[in-house]
Order: sequence, then C-alpha cells, then structure tokens
Amino acid sequence: MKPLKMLRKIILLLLFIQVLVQASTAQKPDVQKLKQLVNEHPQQDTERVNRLEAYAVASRFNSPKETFLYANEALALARKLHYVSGEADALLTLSFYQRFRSRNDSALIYGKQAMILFSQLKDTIRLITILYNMAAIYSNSYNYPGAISADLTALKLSEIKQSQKWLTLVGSSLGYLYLDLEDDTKAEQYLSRAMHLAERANDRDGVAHCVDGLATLAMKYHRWDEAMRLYKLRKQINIEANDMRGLMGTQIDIADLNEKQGKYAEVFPLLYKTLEQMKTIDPGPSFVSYAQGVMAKAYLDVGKPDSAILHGLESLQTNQRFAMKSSSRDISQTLARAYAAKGNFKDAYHYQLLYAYYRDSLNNQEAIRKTTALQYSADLDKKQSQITLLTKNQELSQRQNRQQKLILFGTIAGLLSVGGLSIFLWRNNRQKLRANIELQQRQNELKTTQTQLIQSEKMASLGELTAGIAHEIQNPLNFVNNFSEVSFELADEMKKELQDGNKEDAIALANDIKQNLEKIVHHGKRADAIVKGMLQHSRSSSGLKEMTDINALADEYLRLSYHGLRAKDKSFNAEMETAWDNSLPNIEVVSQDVGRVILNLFTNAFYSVHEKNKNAKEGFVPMVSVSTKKTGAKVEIRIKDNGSGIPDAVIKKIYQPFFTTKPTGEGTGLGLSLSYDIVTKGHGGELNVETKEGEFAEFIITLPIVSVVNKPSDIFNKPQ
Amino acid sequence: MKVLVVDDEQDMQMLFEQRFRKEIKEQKMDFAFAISGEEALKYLDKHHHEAVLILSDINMPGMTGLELLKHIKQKYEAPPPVVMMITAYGDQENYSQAMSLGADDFLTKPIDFTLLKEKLKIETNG
Repeated sequence: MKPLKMLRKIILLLLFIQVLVQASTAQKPDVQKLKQLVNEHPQQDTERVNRLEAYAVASRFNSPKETFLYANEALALARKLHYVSGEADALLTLSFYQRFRSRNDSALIYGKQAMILFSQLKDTIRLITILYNMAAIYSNSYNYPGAISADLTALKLSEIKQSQKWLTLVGSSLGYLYLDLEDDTKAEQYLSRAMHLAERANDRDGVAHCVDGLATLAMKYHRWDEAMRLYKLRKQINIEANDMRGLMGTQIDIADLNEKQGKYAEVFPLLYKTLEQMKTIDPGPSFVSYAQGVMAKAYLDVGKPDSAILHGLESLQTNQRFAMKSSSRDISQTLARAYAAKGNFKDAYHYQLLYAYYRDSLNNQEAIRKTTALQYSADLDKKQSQITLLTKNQELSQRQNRQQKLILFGTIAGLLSVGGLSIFLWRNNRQKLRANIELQQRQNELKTTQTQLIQSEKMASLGELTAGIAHEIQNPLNFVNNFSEVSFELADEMKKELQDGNKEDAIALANDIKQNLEKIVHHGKRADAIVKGMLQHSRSSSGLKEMTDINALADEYLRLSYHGLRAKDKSFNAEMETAWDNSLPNIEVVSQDVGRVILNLFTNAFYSVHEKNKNAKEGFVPMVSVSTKKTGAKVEIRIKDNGSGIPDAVIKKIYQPFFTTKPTGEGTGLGLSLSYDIVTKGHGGELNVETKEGEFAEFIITLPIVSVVNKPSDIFNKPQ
Repeated sequence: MKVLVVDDEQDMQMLFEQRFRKEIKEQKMDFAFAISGEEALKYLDKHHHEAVLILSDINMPGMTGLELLKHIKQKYEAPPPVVMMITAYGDQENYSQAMSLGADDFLTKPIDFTLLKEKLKIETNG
C-alpha cells in the first residue's frame, strides 16, 4: 500500500508542476532565465511579484529552497502593495510547497488564506486548485471529513467550470479518499468516472492519476486480468514520462500480481532486474523494502523459506526504521509463515505476535477515523436527498403555477365578464407564489447548512487554538519590547542627569526604570505561561499507547483550552479549580487522543459557563473544575462546570454524531461523539455524564489502569 | 494634538506616557486613555469639539475595536476623526475588516513606536 501512496505523490507532484507552469507561461521556460528576469527587475512593484512568483514555481523541482525564499518575497511584496492576486498566488505556491514537505499545519494556514483571497477574486480555477491541495493536506493528517468536503466543493466548482482536467483530478482524489476509507463502491464510482473523462479527452496525466486506484481495486477483488491491463498502461505512461522511479514501482506491482497468480517464473527475473536498477537510481527505502517483501513471499511459496527469511528480515528492518506500519504487518506475517515452514516455531510465534500487534494497532487507528468519516459522508447524503426532495416539490409547484397562469390569462382575455373567477384564480396564484418563495427559502437554508457542514472542521481544531495563542503572545511581547527599549533611553538620561549633578531627577528616572523592569518581568512571565501551553502541545503524536501522567495531561489541556479561548474572545473569563489525586499511577494511553477528549470536554465546559454568564444575574461566578481519582483498577477524571447543564430531552443524543446545541456554524456536533469512541473503543474505558438542567454538568472519564488492548510491548522493542 | 488610546491592557497608559514623554513635556501631544470601546465613546461624546486621533486595539471585552471604529466612522460628521487600529491579531481577516470599515491605518503589536511616531507626524501635517 505504501509504495503505491508514494508513487501517487510523485505523480501528483509532476502534475502540479505542469499545471502551474502551464498557468503562468505558455511554454516551459528556462528556469535560469526566469531567475535572471527577477534580477533584472529590482523595482518593488507588481511586475516583480509576478516574476518572483514565476521563478518560485519553476524552481520547485531542482531548488525547492529557492521556491520557498522567492515565494515568501513575492508574498511580502504583494501584501505591501495590496496586490491581492499576487498575494493569493504566492500563498498557493507556499501551501503546495509545505504540503510536499509534510508540514501540514503550515500548509493549511497558507491554504486557508489563499482560499479566502481566491473566493474574493472569484478566481474559480485557482480556488479549485487550492481546495484540491487542502483536501490532500487534510488526508495527510487523517482528517477525512475535511478532505472529503474540500474535494466535494472543488468537484462542484469544476462542474460549473466544465473543466475536464479538474473533474478528473478532483474526482480521482475523492476516489483515493474512499479507497483509504475502504468504501470501495464509492471509490470505484469516482475513479471510473474520472478515468472515463480523462480517456475521452485523451488526457494522459489524468489517466496516470486514476490508474493506481483502479489497479488497487482490481487487485483487491482478484480481477487479475484487469489489474494486469492497468499496470501495463501505467508502465507505458512511466516510459513516456521517462519516470524511472515510477517504472520501478510498476515493475514491482507486476511482480506482485504474478506472484499472487502463482506465475513464479515471471516473478524472480523481474524483481532481480528491478533490484539491479535500484543500484543505479535509488528510488528510496520504501521501494526497496517493497521489492524484498514480494521476493520473500515468492521464495516462501516456491518452498525456499531460508531465502524468504533473508529478504523478509531486510524488508522488515527498513519498514520499522521508517515506521511503515502496514508493510511491517504484511512482512511479519510472511516471516511467521517462513519460520513455521522451517519448523522453527519459537521465531514463528515471535513474528506472529508482531503481526498481530501491527494489525491491531492499525485497526484501532483506522476504526476511529473511518467511523467519523463515514458517518459524515452518510449525513451528507441525507442532506443531499432532502435537498433533492425539496427541489422536486418546488418544481412541482412551479409547474402548477405556470398552468394556473395560463388559465388566468385565458380567463382575462376571453371571459372579462367572469371577473370574479379571475380574481379568485389570481389570489390562488398569489398564494402559490408565496408558498413557492417559502419553499425556496427553506431550500436555501438547507443548502447553507450543507455548506456549513462541509466547511466546518470536524473537531475543535487544535491548530486554530494554537494559532490564536501565537497571536495572543504579541500582547505581553509588546510590553517586554517597548519597556526595555524605553528603559534603555531612560538609563542614558539618568546618566546625563547624574553628570549634571541633578540628583533628584536622577532618582526619579531610576524609579521609572525600576517600575519598567517590574513590568517586563510581569509580562515576560505572562508570555512564558502562554508558550508553555503551546509547546507541550506540539509534541508529535505516535498514535501509540505510552505511559502517561494523567494529572499533567489534564492540567496541560486545561491551560491550553483556557488560553485558546481567551485568545479568541477577550470577554471570556472563568474560575478554574483543580483537585489532583497525587497517588494516581501513570497509565498507558494514546496521550494525544485522550488529550483531545479532555480538551473537548474543557472547551464545552468553558463554552457553557460563558453562555450562562452572558445572561446571568449579578454574583454568578463561572467555574470549571477538574479532579482525578484512583478507584480500584481504574482512573477517574471528572470535568465539571456550573453552566446551564444538559436538558433531559437531549441527554440521550449527546453522543450522536452531528448532534450539537450550539448555534449553526459554531459547533460541529462531532466532539462528544468522537470523544466517546476514543474513550470506549480506543481505550476500553467509559464516558458518563451527570447533570442538572440550569445548574451543572459533569463528565466523567473512566480509564482502566491496565491497558485492555493487548500489546506485547517487549516484542516490538526486541531486536531480531 | 490630542490622541485617544483605547486598549484593555492597563499598562498601555504607562507605556505611551514614557514613549512620548518628550512630546508630552513639550506639549506637542496630549494623551487620553480608555480601557474599553464604551469608555472611548463616552469620552468622545464629552470632548466632541477637540479634534482627536484615535488609536484602538481590536480584541477587547464588550465592544470590540472594530465595532468602535464602525461607530465613529458612521456617527461622526465629515471629516470623521482619524482611527488607527493596533492589534496583536495581524491576520488578513482582521485587516480587511478594519479597512472595509474605514480604518486609516493598521499596525500590529509589538508596537513599533518609531513607525507610529512617523505615522502620527504624517497625520498631523497632512
């Protein structure tokens, strides 16, 4: 699976370059010449922005560092000149640049800004381009709902623009998303349609895009002939594009296909040839390990377990080193079988356990993601069908309207004498029209809901919180910088007064300086507190369970959510109370996931007290408290707020996806549903709530001290 | 020139008084401070006749700086007072919103006082 994904990335990269280059100039320009054009035009005007931009795009292949530098200069200059389309283009380039370096957060920030500008500029094609990139960013960070919604919007726009190229590109992107989610029916629909459009327009790039996904599907459903046909088509495309890396990948895929069909005579020569080619052109570790993995399987199947083990171990080592989990899972299974074939059951058992570990860990991660995305997708379908229904109703009543209008005119023309009837009909018509307008309104409302659903991010986004904090820090920094600078000047003045013998003035100045230093210390500490919340959060998530101090985790997210909300809304304020059980043992959890749950509950709690405070009587003190406790073999985290509580009528629905009581657009309705899944399915715990309407709500997370998901951790760490 | 500084950060007063101590001493400039949009409006009502230049923060509890800006630009007859926004949130959205409401300038925190002084000079001479 992994090499396939990489190959896809390469094709995407090539295609992106082509798209951008085509967009900026008709012919492929000489990169050096473009650089020269930049140097020849030092004037700080829009022309320079365009030249910087052209070179930034062209240089991304061979000198990506220059891309970054030049695009940034273009961005800064465009902003200074208020040259909006130049600014938007630079943001687009930077967003793609960051995505290809897997810097998803940064890519997202650039992308969102570009999106706003392109919609302002009504530049639909670029808007599609950036949405397409956003979808890829979301998909890379496993935010499938986000990815699907971005792609769906892009698809709709491509349909409006009637752009075959983008219909193919975005359609195939959706196909790959559903492929990742294992919704194969949808995947096949999107990919086949994209392929069909590309073939009809003789769009080779488009075909290259769809081929992988369709081949994967053919392989999965054992449609060997179709898979072979698709691989051969890709091989041809690889050769046309002089893409050696891609060609190697295709060769391994073909070998794998032959291996699955038992055509071993064709497997070995092709694999050895490919491994030989890899010595001249290094395609990266994932390709080598993929080839060795197929080789190991083939040797095992022809009854040579020793050779299989040799190749298998090498492949596994590479996979582990680069954290390629699904490849590690497959090769562990091959190794277990190979050792068993040799009668070495001790090692066979070891690799069987390793296989099970990888399988479970992948399944767990996937399950949560898939549930959300599929629920989201289902909800989208539901909304769509509601809209269709309303549209039909509207059409029906419009038709009735038209008919009555005809009758009306007929009546007026022919039967002036029967004016009464005319008036009756006219009235009737008016009523229908009014009903019609109402229907139109309801349809619009539903459409808005759908758009909001598509655009809103699915969780209280951590990225946004931290971005808010990054801004927030400028406030204390303002004082630190300026009070230091001004004290510097004051010190000079004090020196002068001392030299002149004005002792009293000097003392007054010294007092001012002292006061300033106090301010600097105060605001320095304030900045420190803000940054702490942020830094601790930016640790990368391994998705693995690790021993975690729950008190520290809860404290950290309490701070993060408080500062994050303060950063967004200054009027927000609440008291916080903590009661930590210091005897709490560290427990094994995926700290990033549990952190999300805690963050979510805090955010809800703060939201609730804040809302209540807006209308509350004098004397209401908004309060959020958190406590931890060890109870038997379990750890309990309680998060309580004295907000407006949860009404009985909705308490059963709170864990349902998309259920929210917040105003439209403010909540996604996924926070609690996802939290529930993380706690119960992900960690074998419980999530309960106690509440009294109008008074309080208390959420209780209960986690087992001994991790229930079986994980032989010593096996994972043991060297072979 | 009279300058009204609107910011919910209380230390802003001390900072401005120190940063502009020479101008204040020479009576070239005169500062007034408000810690909320509401307070700023009250001040402007009382001191209607004094032509002032307003420097306002955006994120404030209660009335935000943008609401204040809207109020001033819509309520006061031509020419309305000069309003510069000073904010920690220098993002595009804030910027375009401020501009569309008629802000005369947009500065970000930490405040660059050299730049601010230059801008004030231009405003008073122009």
